[in-house]
Amino acid sequence: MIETIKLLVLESIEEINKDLQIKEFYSPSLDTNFFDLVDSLVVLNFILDIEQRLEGHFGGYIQIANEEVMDASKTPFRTVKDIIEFITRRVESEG
Amino acid sequence: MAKVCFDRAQISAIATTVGDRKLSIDDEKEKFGFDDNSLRRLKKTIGLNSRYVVSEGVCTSDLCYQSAIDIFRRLGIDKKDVEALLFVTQSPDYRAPSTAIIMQERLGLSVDTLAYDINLGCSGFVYGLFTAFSFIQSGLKKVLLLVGDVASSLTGKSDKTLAPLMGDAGSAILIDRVENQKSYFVMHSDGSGYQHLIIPGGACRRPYLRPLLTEDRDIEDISLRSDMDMYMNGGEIFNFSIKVVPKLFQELFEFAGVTEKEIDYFVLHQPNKYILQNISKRLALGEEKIPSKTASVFGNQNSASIPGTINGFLYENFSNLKLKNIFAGFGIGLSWGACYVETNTIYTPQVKTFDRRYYNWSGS
Repeated sequence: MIETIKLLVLESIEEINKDLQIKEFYSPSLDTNFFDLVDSLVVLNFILDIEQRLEGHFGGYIQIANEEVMDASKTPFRTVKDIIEFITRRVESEG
Repeated sequence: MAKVCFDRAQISAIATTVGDRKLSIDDEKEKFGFDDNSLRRLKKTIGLNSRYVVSEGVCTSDLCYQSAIDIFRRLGIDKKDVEALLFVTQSPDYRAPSTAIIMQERLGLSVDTLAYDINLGCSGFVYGLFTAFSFIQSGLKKVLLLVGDVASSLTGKSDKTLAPLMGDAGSAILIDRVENQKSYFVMHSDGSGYQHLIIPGGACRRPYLRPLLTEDRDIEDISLRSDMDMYMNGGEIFNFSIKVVPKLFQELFEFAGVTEKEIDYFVLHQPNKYILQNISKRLALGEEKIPSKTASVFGNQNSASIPGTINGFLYENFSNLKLKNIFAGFGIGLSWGACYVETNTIYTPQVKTFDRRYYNWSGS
């Protein structure tokens, strides 16, 4: 499952980066920083996009936003790896 | 814990007036310095589209005045029967006195009327309703609640992080005494987050200094705001909203002994499309039960966003049907609250734009 989610996350980053043109996002690695390179609206935009991709792939709504996603000290969106692991946990918890 | 049940108060009428100027975000694109890509993202995620703002010099009290006069005329209210007037706003006519007291005279209410302001924003409708219902429970028979803001005056005019979101609206709500009409309120506040949504200047902690303000303004920097303008930490407010609102509903369901299936409408404060859709999906509510278009059409109306949503999109059903409703407000303070209130064919006209004929105030 984690490979599927990795693919969806990378697709989502590629999609939002069409507008942003952030060079670190052209070929992101697992260690690429995400959260510190974008503002809160972009985080929201990413959440909206990835939630739609997850819903399309898994067939049901999976809540990604929580009270920590925008919290600079706790965000699970720091790096690409963090994002993939967080979303995998969310998908698994939804059964 | 502030959980209160009332059994003597009901809403009889809700009317809302919005600013007379409709602004499209497409027309404001250059003013705020949005490129096509960022504008597309804002439209998709936040739902930015249009907003209604007032013309120069029009105050929240003017919008509320038009709304109140509409109710008085339509329902044939004898003004001497109004025993209390509450005005919930962050954009009063003056720093002092309370605008509610000025409105007592302007609306022609008796000098026996109790009147004062409540300084709240997005949670203000629920807090105002709570206070009005408390007065009724205490023995008063008729209370007029005015809520709203000229929110466009609270932000830096070219602050692209806040100004494009804001719409101006003023609502009037009439509350009457009845027998055996139960309602339930759950209220919260958390001052630890006060700095995340704030107008820091202009009061005692950081007085208004005109020369400093003038020098600080840089017309080349379109995002710059002064201490007199509202600041929002969007990420923190987002986290707050996502965290407290679903829990607030669970508290209210348990306290009122109702389930989400029994509720006809969840009318929430309308900050932006994503937050409302997120809450709707999290609670598995149908979109028809939780309206979310207000901010996209009228702008963020602060304390008037709940009545503004009713008069903007639900006025036919509120006028013609008996409904079980949950109202929820959340925002500046940080402050949040929700209530379960039943309504039965109340007077709820379609939202109106401000008519200059109501701007006949002779005050200074």
